[in-house]
Amino acid sequence: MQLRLLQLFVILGSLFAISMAGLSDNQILELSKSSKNHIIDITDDNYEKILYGKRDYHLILVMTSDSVQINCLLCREFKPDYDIIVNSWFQDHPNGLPEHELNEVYEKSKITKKNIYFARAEFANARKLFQIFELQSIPKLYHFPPTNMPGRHDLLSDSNEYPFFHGDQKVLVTDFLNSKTGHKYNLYIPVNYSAVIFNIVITLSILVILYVFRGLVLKFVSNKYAWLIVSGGLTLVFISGYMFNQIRQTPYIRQGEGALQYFVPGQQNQLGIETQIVGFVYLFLSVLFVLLTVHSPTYKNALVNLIAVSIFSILIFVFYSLLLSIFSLKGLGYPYSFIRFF
Amino acid sequence: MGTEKTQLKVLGVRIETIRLLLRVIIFISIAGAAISSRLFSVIRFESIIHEFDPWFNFRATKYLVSHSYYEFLNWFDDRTWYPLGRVTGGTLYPGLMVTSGIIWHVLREWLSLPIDIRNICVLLAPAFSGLTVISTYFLTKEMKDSNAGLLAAIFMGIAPGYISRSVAGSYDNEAIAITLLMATFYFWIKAMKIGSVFYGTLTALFYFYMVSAWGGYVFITNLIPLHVFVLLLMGRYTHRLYTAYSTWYALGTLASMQIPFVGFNPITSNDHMAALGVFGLLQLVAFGDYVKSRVPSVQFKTFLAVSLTFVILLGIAGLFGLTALGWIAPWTGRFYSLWDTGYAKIHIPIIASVSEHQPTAWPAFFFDTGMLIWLFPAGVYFCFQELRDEHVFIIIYSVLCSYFAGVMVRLMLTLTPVVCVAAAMALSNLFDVYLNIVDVFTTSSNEIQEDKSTTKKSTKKSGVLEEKNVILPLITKLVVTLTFAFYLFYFILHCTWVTSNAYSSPSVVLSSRNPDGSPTIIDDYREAYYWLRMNTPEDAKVLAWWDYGYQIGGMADRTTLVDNNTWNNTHIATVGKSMSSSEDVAYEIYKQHDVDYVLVIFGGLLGYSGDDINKFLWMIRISEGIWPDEIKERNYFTDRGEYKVDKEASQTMKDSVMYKLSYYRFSELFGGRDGPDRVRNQDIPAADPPELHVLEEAFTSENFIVRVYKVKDLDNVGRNLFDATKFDNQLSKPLKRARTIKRPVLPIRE
Repeated sequence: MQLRLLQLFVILGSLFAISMAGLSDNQILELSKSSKNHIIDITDDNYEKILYGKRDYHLILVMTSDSVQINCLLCREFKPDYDIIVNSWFQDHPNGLPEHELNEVYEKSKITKKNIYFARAEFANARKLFQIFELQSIPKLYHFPPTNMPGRHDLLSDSNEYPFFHGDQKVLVTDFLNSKTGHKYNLYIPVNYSAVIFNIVITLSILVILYVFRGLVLKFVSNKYAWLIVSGGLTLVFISGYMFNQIRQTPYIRQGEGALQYFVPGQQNQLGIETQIVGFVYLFLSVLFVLLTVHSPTYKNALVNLIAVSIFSILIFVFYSLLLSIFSLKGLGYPYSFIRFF
Repeated sequence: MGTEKTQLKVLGVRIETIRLLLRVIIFISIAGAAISSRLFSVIRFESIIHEFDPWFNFRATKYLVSHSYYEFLNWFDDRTWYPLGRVTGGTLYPGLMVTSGIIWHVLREWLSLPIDIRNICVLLAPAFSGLTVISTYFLTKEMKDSNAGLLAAIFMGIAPGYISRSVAGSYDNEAIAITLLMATFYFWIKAMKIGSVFYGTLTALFYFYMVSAWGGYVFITNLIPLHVFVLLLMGRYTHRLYTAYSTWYALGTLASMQIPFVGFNPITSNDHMAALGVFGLLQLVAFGDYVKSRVPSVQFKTFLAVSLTFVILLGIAGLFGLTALGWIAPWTGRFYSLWDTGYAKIHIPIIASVSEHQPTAWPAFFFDTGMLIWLFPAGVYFCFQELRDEHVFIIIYSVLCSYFAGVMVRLMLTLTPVVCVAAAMALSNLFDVYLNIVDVFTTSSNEIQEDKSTTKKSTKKSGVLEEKNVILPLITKLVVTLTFAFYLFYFILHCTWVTSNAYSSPSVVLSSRNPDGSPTIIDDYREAYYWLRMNTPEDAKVLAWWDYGYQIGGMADRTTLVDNNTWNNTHIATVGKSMSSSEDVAYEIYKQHDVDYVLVIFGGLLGYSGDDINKFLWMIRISEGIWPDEIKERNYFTDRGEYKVDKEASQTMKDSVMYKLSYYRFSELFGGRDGPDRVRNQDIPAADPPELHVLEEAFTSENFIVRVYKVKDLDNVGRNLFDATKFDNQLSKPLKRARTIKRPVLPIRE
C-alpha cells in the first residue's frame, strides 16, 4: 500500500517536475519519511527531479557504493556514521522544523533557518549522476544549499563538498553541517544491545569453562613447554612481519601474469603467504638447530650420530639457502647466496 | 680436578692468565671491528654530521661547550621558531650533549688535546658502540658463560640493526642510549641475582643516565617491573628481588626527576605507573611473605584472599579516580600507537606520517640481523631449558620487543641487542657440544673403562670401538663446526655489505657518478648553506620547510621559522600556506614574520626525489587543516585528479610560490625548449615561464638542488610590487644580458 502510494506520488511529482523541477519542502519531507532510515535513495530515474530546480531546504547527498566489485572500505566505514547523523536529526525533528521557526535568521551565523534532508546515491543505481560529478574517489558528501534558480543548473558549482579528514566522521560531518546550515546537531548513538549481551555471554562462558577445567588450565599455566610454544610462536610470528600485514592489510596472495605470485619485490612490500613461508623457514631452521645441539649428541652410536648430524646440517644448509634466495627476490641487489632456488 | 688445575700450564704460564689475556685481545679486536665498520662514511665522504636531527644535537653541543652548564639548561633559543623561540634547555634530553661536552673538556684540559668538538660528535657513536660491546658481553655472561658473552659481543659489534643508528656522524640520542640500555640491564640482572644494594644503585645510576639521554627510557621503566611481576606470578619472590627492585625504583625515580624535560612525569604519567604499581605490589608480597612465616597456613589463606580482593579493588578505584581527577595524565599518544595500531592513523597524523613510525616488513628483520634472526627463536628455546630468573628476563624482552619492532621500524634498534644475546646463547650451546675436540679422546677412554667394568659387550668389540670412536665423532664435529664457521663468515660479509650500502650515507652530501663512471660528490646543501652564512646579514630570517630547519640552524647559522622539533603545528601550517598560496598572500606572511630569504630544495634537474615539490602535498594538507577556506588540496590537481607540474598543471599550482620558486628560469637551462623534470618525468613548458614579483633569485647551487630567494623590500615610491616589477622588466628588457648557466650532466645514483 505504502509503495503504491509512493509510486503514485512519484508519478505526480515527476509530472510537476517537468514544468518546474525540484520538490517543495512538504514533498521532500514525505519522501524522506517514506524512505528507509529517512535517507532518500537517489537513482538515475529520480536525480533530476530531486537535485535540480528550486529548493527551499538544505539537501545533503552522499555518493557511495556498497558493491563488492568496487570494494570501498571507507564507504562501509562511513555508512553507519551517516545513518546515526540522519536518525538523530529526525529523532529531534520528526516533521522537520516547526512552521514558526522556518525562515528565522540565526543570530550568530546569519544563516536563514531551513529544513535539511538527506539523500544517498549508490553507484550501481546512479551511474549517470556519478558521471556528472566526474568522481575519482568515493565516498563524497555534498551539501546543496537552498536556491531560487529553476530548472537545470551546474550541480558541481551549486554544492559544497565535505572534505574527508582524519578523525571521528560523525563529529566532523555535524560540524560541517553546522557551519553550512546553522543548525545544532545532537548525536544519539544507539546502544548495541546484542553486542553487549554477546560480550557478557562470551566472558561468562569463558569463566565457566576455565572454572570447570581449572585442573587442566592450571597444568597448562604451570607448564614450561606451553609457555615455550606461546612465546616462541609469538616471536616467530612477529619477526616474520605479521604486524605489517595487520596494519597495512596486505593481500594474502596475488594473481600475477598467468601464475599466482607468492613473493613481491621491494623491501617495503610483502604478501600474507610470503610472511607465512618465511615464518616456517625460520621455524624449521630453529628446530633443526635445536635438534642438532640438543638431540643428536644423545645418540650413543657414533655412526648414527654422524648420519643424524649430516642430515640436520644439510637441511639447515638447504633452508638457509632457500631463505637467502627468497631474500634476493626482494630486489635489493643482495649479492650472497648458496644454492639458487629461483 | 684439583690436580688438573696445577697441571694446566702452557710455557710456564697459568692457563687462567692466558685465558684472560686472550679475552682482552679478543675484546680489543671486537671493539676495533665495531668501530672501524662504522667509519665507512668518514672514509668515503669526510668527518661530517649526518642527516637532520644530529645537526640540532651538534648545535646544542656547541652551545654547551661555549657556555656554562647552567646557561645550557636555561637556554632560550631565539634563533629558531622565529618569532616564538624555543625553550630549548627544558625540552631536550641533555645526556648526549653533556657526554660529548665532558669528553671535550677532559681531552682539552686534562690531556691537553684540543680536539675539535665536531670530531668528538662525529666519532662519539662508534666509540660508544665499543662500550656497548663490553656491556653486552657482561650481560650475556650472566645468562650463560663467557663464551656466549664473547659471541654476543661480536654480534652486537657488527649487527646492522645497531649500526644503522650509530655510524660515525650519526650524532643522535640513540647512539649512546643503546650502550646505557645494555649497561642498565646488566646491572639489573646482577642486582637481582645477588640481591645487592650496590648493584641496584648502579642500575639506578645508569637508568638516570639513560633518562637523560633518550625518551626510550620508558622501555626500561616498563620492562624491569614486568620482569619482577612475572617472577612474582611464577612464585619466585625472594628477598634479593625485593632489595634490588626497591633500590632501583626509589633511587632511579628520584634521579630521573632531576631532568628538566622529564620533571614530575615519573609520578604523574601513566607510562610510569606500571613501575609504581609493581613497587607497591612488591611491598605487599614482602609483607605477605613475612606474615606467612608467622601464622599457620589456614589462617594465612583467609588473610590472603581478603587482602587480595581489598587491594585490587582499591588499586583500580585509585587509578580511575586519580585519572578522572586529572592528577595523573593519561597515556601519551606515542605509547597508545604501539598497542592500538589504528590509533595513530586516526588521531595523530603527524606520528603516522613519519617514515620511522611505519610497520616493519619481514625483509627488514633479515636485513638488520642476518642469520641471527633464525638463531633467535632457538635462543629463546635455550632460555626455557634453564629458565633461571635472568632467562625469564630475556624471554619477556624477546617477545615484547619483537612485537614493538614489528609495529615500528625504528624499534628494530631495541630488538637487535636481544637478538644478539639470544643467538649467541644458542650458538655457544652448539659450540659447547661440537667445538670440544678434547672430548673425543677422553670419552673414548672412559667408554672403554665402562665397557670393561660392565663386561657385557666387553673384549671382542672394544678394540674396534676404540678406533671408530676417534674418527667418526671427529668427522661429526668437524662437519658442524665447519658449516657454522662458514655461516659466521657469511654473516660478517652480510653485515659489512649492509653497512656499507645502506647505512653509511650522510644524506647531506650525495654521491653520484659521472657519465664516464668515475665517482663524484654532490655537495649542494653545504654550498648553499655556506653561501647563506657568508653573504647574508647575521640576523637574517630564512623561511624553509621544517625538514631543513636544523640544518640551516647548524650549517648556515641563520634564524629559521620552523624546524624538525615540530612543536607548533600552526606555525608549520603558516609556512606551508606561504608556500602553497600565491605571491601576494605569501608576501603578507613574509612581512608579518620578517622573512628575508626563502629557501627551497629542488631535485628536478638531477633526479633527486626527496625535494620540496614531492613534499608539497604535505604542506598543502597541513595548511588546509588550519585554513580550509583558503587552501584546498583539490585545486592543486588537474581536472583528472593528477598531480602534475607540466603544462597541464592547474592554475593554482602554477600560481603557488613553491612552483614558481622551483621552476624559476628552469627552462632557460635548456635553451628555451621545454625543460624535463627528471623526478616527475614531466616537461616544464618554456612558453609560459613563472614570473616572480615579490621575490628575487639570490642564489642557486651548482646542481640546482638548493635555491635561495631574497624577499624584496617595499617599493621606494610606494608602488605595488607587481607594478614595480612589470615596470622594471619593460625598462631593462633590451639591456638584460642572458645569464649563461652551465647545465650539469651527471645523473644521480639511485
